[in-house]
Amino acid sequence: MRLYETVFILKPDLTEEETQSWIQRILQVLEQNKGELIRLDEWGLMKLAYQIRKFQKGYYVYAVFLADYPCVRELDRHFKMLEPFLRHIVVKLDDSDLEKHRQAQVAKEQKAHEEEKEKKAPEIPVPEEPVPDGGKAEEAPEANLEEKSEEKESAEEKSDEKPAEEVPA
Amino acid sequence: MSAYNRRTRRPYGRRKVCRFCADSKLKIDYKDPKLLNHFITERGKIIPRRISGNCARHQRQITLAIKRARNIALLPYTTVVR
Repeated sequence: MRLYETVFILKPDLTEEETQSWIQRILQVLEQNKGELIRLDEWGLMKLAYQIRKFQKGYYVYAVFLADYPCVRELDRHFKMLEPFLRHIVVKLDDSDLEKHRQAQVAKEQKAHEEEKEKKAPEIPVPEEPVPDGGKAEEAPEANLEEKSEEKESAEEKSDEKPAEEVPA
Repeated sequence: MSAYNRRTRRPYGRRKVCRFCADSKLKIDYKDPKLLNHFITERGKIIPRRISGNCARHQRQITLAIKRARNIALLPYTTVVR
């Protein structure tokens, strides 16, 4: 098994569902040929440097995977055969980068997870604890809140930095 | 440096150092059109080594990266000038 990466461009006039299904289609081919997906990044709709089939834009997808050569050949064949793929490139990577890409994928998934949490968080009201005593009890929870918010911020910063280093624009 | 060299060198030109040798963190990647843009002309041609100041090794890498980037429409092959 060797480490490969691929960038492919899908037609811009597909619906979101169609785009996803074509990506799944390629991943299926990968799976059927005993390839292992390490990392999947959708760069999204980007402007092309030149027109391809009269399109000015294209939907870019980047993926890293482990596979053998026959699998790559099969992928290449499908890219050529299937009409919505405007361009594709498969490049052999240094095998030592495997862990780096694994981590990038994990970091990306975590980030997506956190964003989902943040979205859900305001919907659930936090039950307020009744304060038995006046002065002393009020101070303590406030201090806790501040600490927590600081922790959150630092965690967010870390998660922001990781993908930024490894994903060149 | 010999006298011959001193005479032929540009009067105010500084000696260029390969950017990639100077900064090992800088990686040449075909997926990074922003970086590669520095090494192509307005018409999209690859800038020669004697002008960009790259060393031979990195110029080869740059050339390969630009050609790959062109392939997936991150960089132009040419631009139309009217």
